[in-house]
Amino acid sequence: MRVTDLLVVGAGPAGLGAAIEAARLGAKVLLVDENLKAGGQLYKQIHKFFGSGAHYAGTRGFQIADILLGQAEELGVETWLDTRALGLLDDGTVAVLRKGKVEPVKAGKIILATGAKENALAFPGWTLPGVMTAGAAQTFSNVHGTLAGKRILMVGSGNVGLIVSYQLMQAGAEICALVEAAPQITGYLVHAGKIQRAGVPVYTGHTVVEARGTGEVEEAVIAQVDERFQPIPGTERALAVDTILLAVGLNPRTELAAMFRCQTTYEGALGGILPVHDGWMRSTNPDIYVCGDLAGVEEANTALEEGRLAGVHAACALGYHGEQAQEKMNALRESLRSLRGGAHALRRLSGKERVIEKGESAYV
Amino acid sequence: MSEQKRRGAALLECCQEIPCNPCATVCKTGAITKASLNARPEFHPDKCVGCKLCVAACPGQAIFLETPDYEPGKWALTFPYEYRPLPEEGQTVTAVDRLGQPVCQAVVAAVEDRPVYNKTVLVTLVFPAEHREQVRFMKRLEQEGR
Repeated sequence: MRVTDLLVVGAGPAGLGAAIEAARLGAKVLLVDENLKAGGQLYKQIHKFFGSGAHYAGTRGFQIADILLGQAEELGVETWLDTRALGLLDDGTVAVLRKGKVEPVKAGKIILATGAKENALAFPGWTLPGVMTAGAAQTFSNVHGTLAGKRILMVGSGNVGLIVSYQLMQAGAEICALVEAAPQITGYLVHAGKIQRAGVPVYTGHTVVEARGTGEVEEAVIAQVDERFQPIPGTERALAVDTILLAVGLNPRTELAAMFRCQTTYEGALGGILPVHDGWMRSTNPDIYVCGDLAGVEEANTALEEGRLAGVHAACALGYHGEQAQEKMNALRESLRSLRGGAHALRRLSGKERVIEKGESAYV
Repeated sequence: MSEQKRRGAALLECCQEIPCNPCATVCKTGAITKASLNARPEFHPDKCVGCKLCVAACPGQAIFLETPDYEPGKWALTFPYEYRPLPEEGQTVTAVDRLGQPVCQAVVAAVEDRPVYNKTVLVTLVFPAEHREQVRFMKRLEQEGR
Protein backbone atom coordinates (compact mmCIF):
# COMPACT_ATOMS: atom_id res chain seq x y z
CA MET A 1 0.00 0.00 0.00
CA ARG A 2 1.26 3.42 -0.97
CA VAL A 3 0.18 6.37 1.19
CA THR A 4 0.29 9.89 -0.19
CA ASP A 5 -1.35 13.27 0.40
CA LEU A 6 -2.64 13.69 -3.12
CA LEU A 7 -3.17 11.28 -5.99
CA VAL A 8 -3.52 12.85 -9.43
CA VAL A 9 -4.85 10.62 -12.20
CA GLY A 10 -3.81 11.77 -15.67
CA ALA A 11 -0.64 13.70 -16.57
CA GLY A 12 -1.99 15.94 -19.31
CA PRO A 13 -2.04 19.72 -18.85
CA ALA A 14 -4.77 19.55 -16.15
CA GLY A 15 -3.09 16.80 -14.11
CA LEU A 16 0.34 18.41 -14.44
CA GLY A 17 -1.06 21.80 -13.39
CA ALA A 18 -2.72 20.19 -10.37
CA ALA A 19 0.39 18.23 -9.34
CA ILE A 20 2.68 21.25 -9.69
CA GLU A 21 0.53 23.62 -7.63
CA ALA A 22 -0.16 21.10 -4.86
CA ALA A 23 3.52 20.18 -4.62
CA ARG A 24 4.46 23.86 -4.56
CA LEU A 25 2.37 24.22 -1.39
CA GLY A 26 4.16 21.26 0.19
CA ALA A 27 1.78 18.38 -0.46
CA LYS A 28 3.21 14.96 -1.25
CA VAL A 29 1.93 14.22 -4.74
CA LEU A 30 1.71 10.97 -6.69
CA LEU A 31 0.89 11.47 -10.39
CA VAL A 32 -0.13 8.44 -12.44
CA ASP A 33 -0.70 8.15 -16.18
CA GLU A 34 -1.46 5.16 -18.40
CA ASN A 35 0.81 6.40 -21.18
CA LEU A 36 4.54 5.80 -21.55
CA LYS A 37 5.17 9.52 -21.53
CA ALA A 38 3.61 12.33 -19.47
CA GLY A 39 2.19 15.45 -21.12
CA GLY A 40 -1.10 14.07 -22.44
CA GLN A 41 -1.96 15.48 -25.83
CA LEU A 42 0.56 18.33 -25.50
CA TYR A 43 3.37 16.33 -27.13
CA LYS A 44 1.27 15.93 -30.27
CA GLN A 45 0.76 19.68 -30.59
CA ILE A 46 3.48 21.07 -32.81
CA HIS A 47 1.68 24.37 -33.42
CA LYS A 48 1.97 27.59 -31.44
CA PHE A 49 -0.72 27.93 -28.77
CA PHE A 50 -3.38 30.55 -28.27
CA GLY A 51 -4.00 32.05 -24.87
CA SER A 52 -2.27 34.60 -22.73
CA GLY A 53 1.36 35.48 -23.48
CA ALA A 54 1.78 35.84 -19.72
CA HIS A 55 1.43 32.05 -19.63
CA TYR A 56 2.47 29.96 -22.59
CA ALA A 57 0.71 31.42 -25.63
CA GLY A 58 2.91 31.57 -28.70
CA THR A 59 4.84 28.55 -27.40
CA ARG A 60 4.39 25.23 -29.18
CA GLY A 61 2.43 22.54 -27.31
CA PHE A 62 5.31 20.08 -26.96
CA GLN A 63 7.50 22.88 -25.58
CA ILE A 64 4.83 23.64 -22.93
CA ALA A 65 4.87 19.95 -21.96
CA ASP A 66 8.66 20.12 -21.47
CA ILE A 67 8.29 23.20 -19.23
CA LEU A 68 5.55 21.60 -17.10
CA LEU A 69 7.36 18.27 -16.74
CA GLY A 70 10.50 20.12 -15.67
CA GLN A 71 8.56 22.01 -13.00
CA ALA A 72 6.86 18.86 -11.71
CA GLU A 73 10.19 17.09 -11.42
CA GLU A 74 11.83 20.04 -9.69
CA LEU A 75 9.01 20.16 -7.14
CA GLY A 76 9.41 16.48 -6.30
CA VAL A 77 6.20 15.17 -7.84
CA GLU A 78 6.47 11.39 -8.00
CA THR A 79 5.31 10.22 -11.42
CA TRP A 80 4.29 6.68 -12.33
CA LEU A 81 3.93 6.17 -16.07
CA ASP A 82 2.49 3.13 -17.86
CA THR A 83 0.24 2.95 -14.81
CA ARG A 84 -3.53 2.75 -14.73
CA ALA A 85 -5.92 3.75 -11.99
CA LEU A 86 -8.41 0.89 -12.18
CA GLY A 87 -10.93 2.03 -9.63
CA LEU A 88 -11.95 2.31 -6.04
CA LEU A 89 -11.52 -0.56 -3.58
CA ASP A 90 -13.90 -1.20 -0.68
CA ASP A 91 -11.49 0.22 1.90
CA GLY A 92 -11.37 3.60 0.11
CA THR A 93 -8.01 3.06 -1.54
CA VAL A 94 -7.47 3.36 -5.27
CA ALA A 95 -6.42 0.26 -7.19
CA VAL A 96 -3.49 1.17 -9.39
CA LEU A 97 -2.07 -1.25 -11.96
CA ARG A 98 1.67 -0.82 -12.29
CA LYS A 99 4.28 -3.19 -13.71
CA GLY A 100 1.70 -5.98 -13.93
CA LYS A 101 0.69 -5.68 -10.28
CA VAL A 102 -2.19 -3.97 -8.57
CA GLU A 103 -1.03 -1.62 -5.87
CA PRO A 104 -3.50 0.09 -3.53
CA VAL A 105 -2.92 3.82 -3.10
CA LYS A 106 -4.33 5.64 -0.09
CA ALA A 107 -4.62 9.37 -0.67
CA GLY A 108 -6.10 12.19 1.38
CA LYS A 109 -7.48 13.81 -1.76
CA ILE A 110 -7.74 12.63 -5.36
CA ILE A 111 -7.70 14.80 -8.47
CA LEU A 112 -9.12 13.20 -11.60
CA ALA A 113 -7.77 14.59 -14.86
CA THR A 114 -8.64 11.71 -17.13
CA GLY A 115 -9.33 13.81 -20.24
CA ALA A 116 -11.71 13.01 -23.05
CA LYS A 117 -12.14 10.58 -25.91
CA GLU A 118 -13.00 11.32 -29.50
CA ASN A 119 -16.51 10.91 -30.88
CA ALA A 120 -17.16 8.67 -33.85
CA LEU A 121 -19.57 9.12 -36.74
CA ALA A 122 -21.28 6.14 -38.37
CA PHE A 123 -22.02 6.03 -42.10
CA PRO A 124 -22.00 3.27 -44.72
CA GLY A 125 -18.43 2.03 -45.11
CA TRP A 126 -17.17 3.61 -41.88
CA THR A 127 -15.60 0.34 -40.74
CA LEU A 128 -13.27 0.26 -43.77
CA PRO A 129 -9.57 0.62 -42.98
CA GLY A 130 -8.72 4.26 -43.68
CA VAL A 131 -11.53 5.70 -41.58
CA MET A 132 -10.22 6.88 -38.23
CA THR A 133 -10.40 9.80 -35.82
CA ALA A 134 -8.33 12.93 -36.40
CA GLY A 135 -6.57 12.35 -33.09
CA ALA A 136 -5.49 8.87 -34.17
CA ALA A 137 -3.96 10.28 -37.36
CA GLN A 138 -2.26 12.99 -35.30
CA THR A 139 -0.76 10.34 -33.00
CA PHE A 140 0.47 8.36 -36.01
CA SER A 141 2.05 11.45 -37.52
CA ASN A 142 3.40 13.42 -34.59
CA VAL A 143 4.33 10.60 -32.20
CA HIS A 144 5.20 7.72 -34.52
CA GLY A 145 6.30 9.66 -37.62
CA THR A 146 3.89 7.80 -39.90
CA LEU A 147 1.35 9.35 -42.25
CA ALA A 148 -2.07 7.73 -41.93
CA GLY A 149 -2.83 8.59 -45.54
CA LYS A 150 -1.79 10.70 -48.48
CA ARG A 151 -5.14 11.98 -49.75
CA ILE A 152 -7.41 12.86 -46.89
CA LEU A 153 -10.99 13.99 -46.30
CA MET A 154 -11.34 15.76 -42.95
CA VAL A 155 -14.79 15.74 -41.34
CA GLY A 156 -15.41 18.60 -38.89
CA SER A 157 -14.21 22.20 -38.78
CA GLY A 158 -13.63 22.58 -35.06
CA ASN A 159 -10.12 23.46 -33.96
CA VAL A 160 -9.11 19.78 -33.89
CA GLY A 161 -10.11 19.27 -37.53
CA LEU A 162 -8.45 22.50 -38.62
CA ILE A 163 -5.21 22.02 -36.69
CA VAL A 164 -4.76 18.34 -37.55
CA SER A 165 -5.37 19.19 -41.24
CA TYR A 166 -2.61 21.77 -41.07
CA GLN A 167 -0.20 19.41 -39.32
CA LEU A 168 -0.82 16.57 -41.78
CA MET A 169 -0.13 18.95 -44.67
CA GLN A 170 3.12 19.91 -42.96
CA ALA A 171 3.92 16.19 -42.83
CA GLY A 172 3.32 15.87 -46.58
CA ALA A 173 -0.30 14.72 -46.91
CA GLU A 174 -2.89 16.37 -49.09
CA ILE A 175 -6.18 17.43 -47.49
CA CYS A 176 -8.52 17.02 -50.47
CA ALA A 177 -11.41 18.69 -48.66
CA LEU A 178 -12.79 19.53 -45.25
CA VAL A 179 -16.53 19.15 -44.69
CA GLU A 180 -18.57 20.74 -41.91
CA ALA A 181 -22.27 20.01 -41.38
CA ALA A 182 -22.90 23.37 -39.70
CA PRO A 183 -23.52 26.36 -41.97
CA GLN A 184 -20.28 27.97 -40.78
CA ILE A 185 -16.75 27.01 -39.70
CA THR A 186 -16.95 26.15 -36.01
CA GLY A 187 -13.28 26.50 -35.01
CA TYR A 188 -11.17 29.66 -35.01
CA LEU A 189 -11.27 31.38 -38.39
CA VAL A 190 -7.54 32.07 -38.26
CA HIS A 191 -6.86 28.32 -38.04
CA ALA A 192 -9.19 27.83 -41.04
CA GLY A 193 -7.38 30.63 -42.87
CA LYS A 194 -4.09 28.72 -42.69
CA ILE A 195 -5.41 25.67 -44.53
CA GLN A 196 -7.52 27.75 -46.91
CA ARG A 197 -4.46 29.77 -47.99
CA ALA A 198 -2.76 26.43 -48.61
CA GLY A 199 -5.59 25.59 -51.01
CA VAL A 200 -7.83 23.25 -48.96
CA PRO A 201 -11.48 23.58 -50.01
CA VAL A 202 -13.76 23.94 -46.98
CA TYR A 203 -17.37 22.87 -47.62
CA THR A 204 -19.75 24.06 -44.91
CA GLY A 205 -23.26 22.61 -44.90
CA HIS A 206 -21.77 19.30 -46.06
CA THR A 207 -21.12 15.92 -44.49
CA VAL A 208 -19.66 12.56 -45.41
CA VAL A 209 -22.35 10.04 -46.39
CA GLU A 210 -20.34 7.03 -47.52
CA ALA A 211 -16.89 5.49 -47.64
CA ARG A 212 -16.30 3.24 -50.64
CA GLY A 213 -13.53 0.85 -51.52
CA THR A 214 -12.46 -2.76 -51.69
CA GLY A 215 -10.64 -3.65 -48.50
CA GLU A 216 -9.76 -0.01 -47.77
CA VAL A 217 -11.02 3.50 -48.43
CA GLU A 218 -10.70 4.49 -52.08
CA GLU A 219 -13.45 7.08 -52.27
CA ALA A 220 -15.46 9.31 -49.96
CA VAL A 221 -18.93 10.49 -50.88
CA ILE A 222 -19.90 13.87 -49.50
CA ALA A 223 -23.28 15.61 -49.74
CA GLN A 224 -24.92 18.86 -48.83
CA VAL A 225 -27.15 18.79 -45.73
CA ASP A 226 -30.42 20.57 -44.99
CA GLU A 227 -31.08 22.70 -41.90
CA ARG A 228 -31.74 19.51 -39.90
CA PHE A 229 -28.35 18.12 -40.97
CA GLN A 230 -29.95 15.51 -43.25
CA PRO A 231 -28.13 14.81 -46.55
CA ILE A 232 -29.96 16.28 -49.55
CA PRO A 233 -30.46 13.58 -52.22
CA GLY A 234 -28.88 14.45 -55.54
CA THR A 235 -26.07 16.55 -54.06
CA GLU A 236 -23.67 13.62 -53.56
CA ARG A 237 -20.16 13.95 -54.90
CA ALA A 238 -17.33 11.38 -54.82
CA LEU A 239 -13.79 12.37 -53.84
CA ALA A 240 -10.80 10.13 -54.52
CA VAL A 241 -9.23 9.78 -51.05
CA ASP A 242 -7.44 7.03 -49.15
CA THR A 243 -8.30 8.29 -45.67
CA ILE A 244 -11.32 9.80 -43.95
CA LEU A 245 -10.62 11.52 -40.64
CA LEU A 246 -13.32 12.25 -38.10
CA ALA A 247 -12.98 15.40 -36.00
CA VAL A 248 -16.51 15.48 -34.65
CA GLY A 249 -15.97 16.38 -31.03
CA LEU A 250 -14.89 14.70 -27.82
CA ASN A 251 -16.62 13.46 -24.70
CA PRO A 252 -15.33 13.40 -21.11
CA ARG A 253 -13.84 10.16 -19.74
CA THR A 254 -16.09 9.90 -16.71
CA GLU A 255 -15.69 6.21 -15.77
CA LEU A 256 -13.49 6.77 -12.70
CA ALA A 257 -15.50 9.78 -11.56
CA ALA A 258 -18.68 7.71 -11.75
CA MET A 259 -17.02 4.95 -9.72
CA PHE A 260 -16.14 7.52 -7.06
CA ARG A 261 -19.87 8.39 -6.95
CA CYS A 262 -19.40 11.89 -8.30
CA GLN A 263 -22.76 13.22 -9.46
CA THR A 264 -22.87 13.87 -13.21
CA THR A 265 -24.83 16.16 -15.49
CA TYR A 266 -25.24 16.72 -19.25
CA GLU A 267 -23.89 19.75 -21.11
CA GLY A 268 -23.80 19.42 -24.88
CA ALA A 269 -21.42 22.34 -25.43
CA LEU A 270 -18.95 20.75 -23.00
CA GLY A 271 -18.96 17.32 -24.63
CA GLY A 272 -21.89 15.54 -22.97
CA ILE A 273 -22.02 13.79 -19.59
CA LEU A 274 -19.52 15.19 -17.08
CA PRO A 275 -19.08 15.29 -13.29
CA VAL A 276 -20.70 18.21 -11.51
CA HIS A 277 -18.13 20.43 -9.75
CA ASP A 278 -18.03 23.63 -7.74
CA GLY A 279 -16.02 26.76 -8.49
CA TRP A 280 -12.92 25.15 -6.93
CA MET A 281 -13.19 22.05 -9.17
CA ARG A 282 -14.47 19.91 -6.27
CA SER A 283 -16.90 17.15 -7.30
CA THR A 284 -19.94 16.25 -5.21
CA ASN A 285 -17.59 13.87 -3.37
CA PRO A 286 -15.55 16.27 -1.19
CA ASP A 287 -12.39 14.18 -1.50
CA ILE A 288 -12.48 14.07 -5.30
CA TYR A 289 -11.62 16.93 -7.65
CA VAL A 290 -12.16 16.93 -11.42
CA CYS A 291 -10.48 19.16 -13.98
CA GLY A 292 -9.54 19.55 -17.61
CA ASP A 293 -11.51 17.87 -20.40
CA LEU A 294 -13.08 15.48 -17.86
CA ALA A 295 -14.82 18.50 -16.31
CA GLY A 296 -16.00 19.74 -19.73
CA VAL A 297 -14.21 19.52 -23.07
CA GLU A 298 -12.44 22.83 -23.75
CA GLU A 299 -8.78 23.34 -24.61
CA ALA A 300 -5.33 23.07 -23.05
CA ASN A 301 -5.19 26.56 -21.52
CA THR A 302 -8.40 26.12 -19.54
CA ALA A 303 -7.38 22.55 -18.62
CA LEU A 304 -4.09 23.79 -17.18
CA GLU A 305 -5.77 26.58 -15.17
CA GLU A 306 -8.50 24.26 -13.87
CA GLY A 307 -5.82 21.78 -12.83
CA ARG A 308 -3.85 24.47 -11.01
CA LEU A 309 -7.02 25.60 -9.21
CA ALA A 310 -7.86 22.04 -8.14
CA GLY A 311 -4.25 21.53 -7.00
CA VAL A 312 -4.19 24.64 -4.81
CA HIS A 313 -7.62 23.93 -3.30
CA ALA A 314 -6.83 20.29 -2.59
CA ALA A 315 -3.50 21.21 -0.95
CA CYS A 316 -5.26 23.77 1.28
CA ALA A 317 -7.91 21.19 2.19
CA LEU A 318 -5.08 18.85 3.21
CA GLY A 319 -3.72 21.53 5.54
CA TYR A 320 -0.97 22.96 3.32
CA HIS A 321 -2.00 26.58 3.50
CA GLY A 322 0.65 28.46 1.68
CA GLU A 323 0.79 32.22 1.83
CA GLN A 324 -1.35 33.79 -0.84
CA ALA A 325 -3.09 30.52 -1.67
CA GLN A 326 -6.43 32.28 -1.63
CA GLU A 327 -5.17 35.08 -3.90
CA LYS A 328 -3.77 32.47 -6.24
CA MET A 329 -7.11 30.67 -6.45
CA ASN A 330 -8.93 33.94 -7.10
CA ALA A 331 -6.43 34.80 -9.85
CA LEU A 332 -6.92 31.38 -11.45
CA ARG A 333 -10.70 31.80 -11.42
CA GLU A 334 -10.26 35.22 -13.00
CA SER A 335 -7.95 33.73 -15.62
CA LEU A 336 -10.56 31.05 -16.42
CA ARG A 337 -13.24 33.72 -16.76
CA SER A 338 -10.99 35.57 -19.14
CA LEU A 339 -10.19 32.48 -21.25
CA ARG A 340 -13.94 31.88 -21.57
CA GLY A 341 -14.71 35.54 -22.11
CA GLY A 342 -14.86 35.70 -25.91
CA ALA A 343 -17.91 35.47 -28.15
CA HIS A 344 -16.57 32.14 -29.36
CA ALA A 345 -16.81 30.60 -25.87
CA LEU A 346 -20.32 31.79 -25.01
CA ARG A 347 -22.02 28.37 -25.01
CA ARG A 348 -19.17 26.76 -23.08
CA LEU A 349 -19.25 29.57 -20.52
CA SER A 350 -22.98 29.27 -19.83
CA GLY A 351 -22.60 25.47 -19.63
CA LYS A 352 -19.79 25.83 -17.08
CA GLU A 353 -21.87 28.25 -15.05
CA ARG A 354 -24.72 25.73 -14.84
CA VAL A 355 -22.30 22.94 -13.84
CA ILE A 356 -20.76 25.09 -11.11
CA GLU A 357 -24.16 26.20 -9.83
CA LYS A 358 -25.13 22.55 -9.38
CA GLY A 359 -21.76 21.86 -7.77
CA GLU A 360 -22.07 24.75 -5.32
CA SER A 361 -25.55 23.62 -4.25
CA ALA A 362 -24.03 20.30 -3.14
CA TYR A 363 -22.07 22.21 -0.48
CA VAL A 364 -24.81 24.53 0.85
CA MET B 1 11.13 57.30 -48.62
CA SER B 2 10.98 57.16 -44.84
CA GLU B 3 12.74 54.40 -42.96
CA GLN B 4 9.44 53.07 -41.67
CA LYS B 5 7.95 52.91 -45.12
CA ARG B 6 10.93 51.05 -46.48
CA ARG B 7 10.77 48.48 -43.65
CA GLY B 8 7.06 48.07 -43.95
CA ALA B 9 4.39 47.75 -41.30
CA ALA B 10 2.27 45.00 -39.82
CA LEU B 11 -1.05 44.12 -41.42
CA LEU B 12 -3.46 42.45 -38.98
CA GLU B 13 -6.21 40.14 -40.22
CA CYS B 14 -7.41 38.88 -36.82
CA CYS B 15 -11.15 38.74 -37.31
CA GLN B 16 -12.63 37.06 -34.23
CA GLU B 17 -12.77 37.58 -30.48
CA ILE B 18 -10.60 34.74 -29.23
CA PRO B 19 -8.53 34.50 -26.03
CA CYS B 20 -5.08 35.22 -27.40
CA ASN B 21 -2.47 37.94 -27.05
CA PRO B 22 1.06 36.97 -28.15
CA CYS B 23 0.99 39.76 -30.77
CA ALA B 24 0.66 42.42 -28.09
CA THR B 25 3.08 40.59 -25.77
CA VAL B 26 5.94 40.39 -28.27
CA CYS B 27 5.52 43.93 -29.63
CA LYS B 28 8.30 46.01 -28.08
CA THR B 29 7.07 49.38 -29.34
CA GLY B 30 3.40 49.32 -28.31
CA ALA B 31 2.22 49.22 -31.91
CA ILE B 32 -0.16 46.34 -31.11
CA THR B 33 -2.32 46.51 -28.01
CA LYS B 34 -5.25 44.53 -26.68
CA ALA B 35 -7.94 46.01 -24.44
CA SER B 36 -8.55 42.53 -22.99
CA LEU B 37 -7.46 38.95 -23.69
CA ASN B 38 -10.46 38.41 -25.95
CA ALA B 39 -10.62 41.80 -27.63
CA ARG B 40 -9.41 42.07 -31.20
CA PRO B 41 -5.95 43.64 -31.38
CA GLU B 42 -5.60 47.35 -32.06
CA PHE B 43 -2.85 48.48 -34.37
CA HIS B 44 -1.07 51.82 -34.03
CA PRO B 45 0.81 52.23 -37.33
CA ASP B 46 2.88 55.21 -36.19
CA LYS B 47 4.60 53.00 -33.60
CA CYS B 48 5.33 50.02 -35.85
CA VAL B 49 9.00 49.60 -36.78
CA GLY B 50 8.44 46.57 -39.02
CA CYS B 51 10.41 44.15 -36.81
CA LYS B 52 8.19 41.18 -37.80
CA LEU B 53 8.17 39.62 -34.31
CA CYS B 54 4.35 39.60 -34.35
CA VAL B 55 4.29 37.94 -37.78
CA ALA B 56 6.20 34.98 -36.38
CA ALA B 57 4.45 34.94 -32.98
CA CYS B 58 0.77 35.02 -34.02
CA PRO B 59 -0.53 31.44 -33.45
CA GLY B 60 -3.22 32.15 -36.03
CA GLN B 61 -0.71 33.32 -38.65
CA ALA B 62 -3.02 36.28 -39.13
CA ILE B 63 -0.37 39.01 -39.20
CA PHE B 64 1.60 39.98 -42.30
CA LEU B 65 4.23 42.60 -42.96
CA GLU B 66 3.41 44.81 -45.87
CA THR B 67 6.08 46.94 -47.57
CA PRO B 68 4.55 49.39 -50.04
CA ASP B 69 6.76 50.52 -52.92
CA TYR B 70 9.42 47.95 -52.10
CA GLU B 71 10.60 48.69 -55.62
CA PRO B 72 8.94 51.04 -58.08
CA GLY B 73 5.54 49.53 -58.87
CA LYS B 74 6.18 46.55 -56.59
CA TRP B 75 4.78 45.57 -53.22
CA ALA B 76 6.36 43.20 -50.71
CA LEU B 77 4.50 40.91 -48.29
CA THR B 78 6.04 38.85 -45.50
CA PHE B 79 4.14 35.87 -44.08
CA PRO B 80 4.83 32.82 -41.87
CA TYR B 81 5.72 29.63 -43.73
CA GLU B 82 5.89 26.30 -41.88
CA TYR B 83 6.16 23.83 -44.76
CA ARG B 84 9.17 22.11 -46.28
CA PRO B 85 10.95 22.49 -48.61
CA LEU B 86 11.57 26.19 -48.11
CA PRO B 87 11.72 28.50 -51.11
CA GLU B 88 15.05 30.11 -51.92
CA GLU B 89 15.81 33.78 -52.25
CA GLY B 90 15.49 34.88 -55.86
CA GLN B 91 13.18 31.99 -56.74
CA THR B 92 10.03 32.74 -58.71
CA VAL B 93 6.90 31.28 -57.08
CA THR B 94 3.13 31.55 -57.49
CA ALA B 95 1.55 34.05 -55.13
CA VAL B 96 -1.92 33.00 -53.91
CA ASP B 97 -4.87 34.67 -52.21
CA ARG B 98 -6.67 33.88 -48.93
CA LEU B 99 -8.29 30.82 -50.51
CA GLY B 100 -5.10 29.51 -52.07
CA GLN B 101 -6.07 30.63 -55.57
CA PRO B 102 -3.19 31.74 -57.84
CA VAL B 103 -2.90 35.52 -58.24
CA CYS B 104 0.39 36.22 -59.98
CA GLN B 105 4.05 35.26 -60.16
CA ALA B 106 6.24 36.66 -57.38
CA VAL B 107 9.92 36.71 -56.51
CA VAL B 108 11.11 35.50 -53.12
CA ALA B 109 13.01 38.43 -51.63
CA ALA B 110 13.82 36.90 -48.24
CA VAL B 111 13.62 33.63 -46.29
CA GLU B 112 14.29 34.27 -42.61
CA ASP B 113 14.66 31.59 -39.95
CA ARG B 114 15.73 33.25 -36.71
CA PRO B 115 15.78 31.46 -33.33
CA VAL B 116 13.40 34.08 -31.92
CA TYR B 117 10.80 33.02 -34.49
CA ASN B 118 10.69 29.56 -32.84
CA LYS B 119 10.79 27.44 -36.01
CA THR B 120 8.39 29.63 -37.99
CA VAL B 121 10.12 30.78 -41.17
CA LEU B 122 9.21 34.18 -42.60
CA VAL B 123 9.02 34.43 -46.39
CA THR B 124 8.90 37.75 -48.23
CA LEU B 125 7.43 37.94 -51.73
CA VAL B 126 7.73 40.84 -54.16
CA PHE B 127 4.97 41.24 -56.76
CA PRO B 128 3.20 43.92 -58.82
CA ALA B 129 1.53 46.47 -56.55
CA GLU B 130 -1.86 46.01 -58.22
CA HIS B 131 -2.19 42.59 -56.47
CA ARG B 132 -1.59 43.91 -52.96
CA GLU B 133 -5.20 43.31 -51.83
CA GLN B 134 -5.14 39.68 -52.95
CA VAL B 135 -1.72 38.19 -52.25
CA ARG B 136 -1.44 36.53 -48.80
CA PHE B 137 0.62 33.37 -49.31
CA MET B 138 2.46 31.29 -51.90
CA LYS B 139 1.68 28.03 -53.58
CA ARG B 140 3.43 25.38 -51.52
CA LEU B 141 6.45 23.73 -53.11
CA GLU B 142 6.24 20.00 -53.86
CA GLN B 143 7.94 17.68 -51.42
CA GLU B 144 10.35 15.32 -53.11
CA GLY B 145 9.54 11.62 -52.94
CA ARG B 146 5.98 12.09 -51.72
